[in-house]
Amino acid sequence: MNFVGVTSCTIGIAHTYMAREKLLQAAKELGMNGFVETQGSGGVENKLTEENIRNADAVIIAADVAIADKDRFKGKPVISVDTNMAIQKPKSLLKTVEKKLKAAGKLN
Amino acid sequence: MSVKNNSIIDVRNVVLNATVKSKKEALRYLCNLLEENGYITNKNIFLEDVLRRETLGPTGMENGIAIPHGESEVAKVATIAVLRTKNDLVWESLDKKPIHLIFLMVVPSTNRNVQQLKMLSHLSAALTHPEVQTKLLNETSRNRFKKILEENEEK
Repeated sequence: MNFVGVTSCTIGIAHTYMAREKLLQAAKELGMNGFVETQGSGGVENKLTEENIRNADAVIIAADVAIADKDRFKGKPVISVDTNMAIQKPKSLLKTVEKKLKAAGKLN
Repeated sequence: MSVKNNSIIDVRNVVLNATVKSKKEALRYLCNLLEENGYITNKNIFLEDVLRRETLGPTGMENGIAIPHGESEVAKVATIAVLRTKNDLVWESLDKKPIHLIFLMVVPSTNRNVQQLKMLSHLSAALTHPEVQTKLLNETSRNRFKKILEENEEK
């Protein structure tokens, strides 16, 4: 599965960045390709490119607050969770998303 | 003269062998230290700001590490204070394990320096890496502990 993600939390210092790391670590272990953008107190980092988004089978938003620039994901399956879910169970989150996409016939 | 690294870590805010009884005592200890060393102007207000963040969800992560943080008007500059305790503390954590290594992050609500905030964020990210966790859980020297953190500020 190819996915893009956006993480964001209330203060924008800790959970935003931990969620990104956990998602990327889990993706690596599962052999998935993921790109994750952080929207934190230091602004946007690791900004998703149009190509990243175009190639994504799914969009995972791990956020405790509203994220900016959501329009980019129009037409893509978007899965929203809180940052704790991404930090605590990143692998099961990614596997569940993949399973759902397959069940919906949106992924081979 | 060499250019000094703009670290956000002050070794005076790193304590590696504390004996505290509770989460609140640990946080109070760190707030005292931060006020003493001039990073916050009022330890009681900062503690309240940290405790308010605690009500939003767990800051205990995995393997005994917690990352409480407070955004506050009494915070003068972004920094991080560290307390490692000899005993385990009851603290809501993601893996349900008790806490014994605390990183208290100080975030100013005004006069924010984006570069410093980014350093704090990058440290948060690094703290999810098992190899960094192991190093920090076992390091006995404050200076080397600071160095490990600094190696991860820029990443």
